[in-house]
Amino acid sequence: MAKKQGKKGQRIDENGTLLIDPPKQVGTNKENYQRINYLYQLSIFSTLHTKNITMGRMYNKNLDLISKKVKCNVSPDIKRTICKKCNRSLIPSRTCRITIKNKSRGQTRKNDDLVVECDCGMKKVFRIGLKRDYKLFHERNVIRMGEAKDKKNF
Amino acid sequence: MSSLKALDKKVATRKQVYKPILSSPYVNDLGQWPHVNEQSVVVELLKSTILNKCVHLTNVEMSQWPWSLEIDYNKIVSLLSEKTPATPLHMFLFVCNKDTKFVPSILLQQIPTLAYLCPHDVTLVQLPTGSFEMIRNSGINLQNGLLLLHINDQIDPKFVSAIKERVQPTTQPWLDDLNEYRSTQLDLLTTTQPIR
Repeated sequence: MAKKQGKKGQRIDENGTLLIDPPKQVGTNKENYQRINYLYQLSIFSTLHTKNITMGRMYNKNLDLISKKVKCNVSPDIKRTICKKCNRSLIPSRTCRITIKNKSRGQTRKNDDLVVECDCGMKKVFRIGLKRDYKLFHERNVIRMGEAKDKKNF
Repeated sequence: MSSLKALDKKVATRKQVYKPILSSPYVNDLGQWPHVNEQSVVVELLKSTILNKCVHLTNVEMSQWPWSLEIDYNKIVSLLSEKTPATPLHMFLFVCNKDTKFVPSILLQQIPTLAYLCPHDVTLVQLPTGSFEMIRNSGINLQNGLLLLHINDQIDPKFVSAIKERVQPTTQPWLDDLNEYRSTQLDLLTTTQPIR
């Protein structure tokens, strides 16, 4: 990417965006992220190892509410494993079914849809056939920071 | 002399910002797929034992092939989702998870979990980049990057043992118990916002 020198030694790219180095560590709002992470793991445990999945659903509901209230962003990888209707953790062969459906007459690959159907009947449809090499904004622009060393907090 | 547009761009209108985002402790884990030692040897074994023979069977229906192969995503997933099978089967599941150009990542995201929870004996084998095209070139109409091979009497036992030696078993410790708590992993999302 072509970089131009700004007024005070600033780095500006070709689109007129001021480039700033990433911070070395993420420090803000850490407790809330830890709480969300804990709730997520607890909900999966409750779904798999207890007969009554109500607790798991409740943990997921809390997770969603907290992330919205305290403005903590959650990765799409997490959000895709939670049902938006009943807040169930979507674990294949246990709480959801995964299939590829194609409604077109010619069964063209372009019309392939990945359907994740929750036990409650809610369906998540991903249009995978339209662009097979599609990557989410998150996947394209994420910087991995490595595992945070916050084990002693729990 | 530079244009007005170029001069305009020298003045920054937006700035780069980094937003923290909570990464999944399980789904995004790099250790989700079982590690394969000597990947090139595994590919060569697959090629010499199965794929090279498939080239000569292009005119024959797949159901009449000497070995039982499955490439349909729905059939593979339903087989892996069986809860109480009459007889547990042994199989190899070859996955082209590195060929993201042809296989969407969301399609294969839940396959390790399925393979782990499945009552059958499934050996998950991840293949290197370029394997998708290699399999397609051998006459198999691979569509979703999954190739399931049933291990039966018609498969060479040396091939089976050679693959099993090189592939580590599927482990998903988070599905077993909660002893191992995964610490919070925060990533940064690069985006821009206007300068006021």
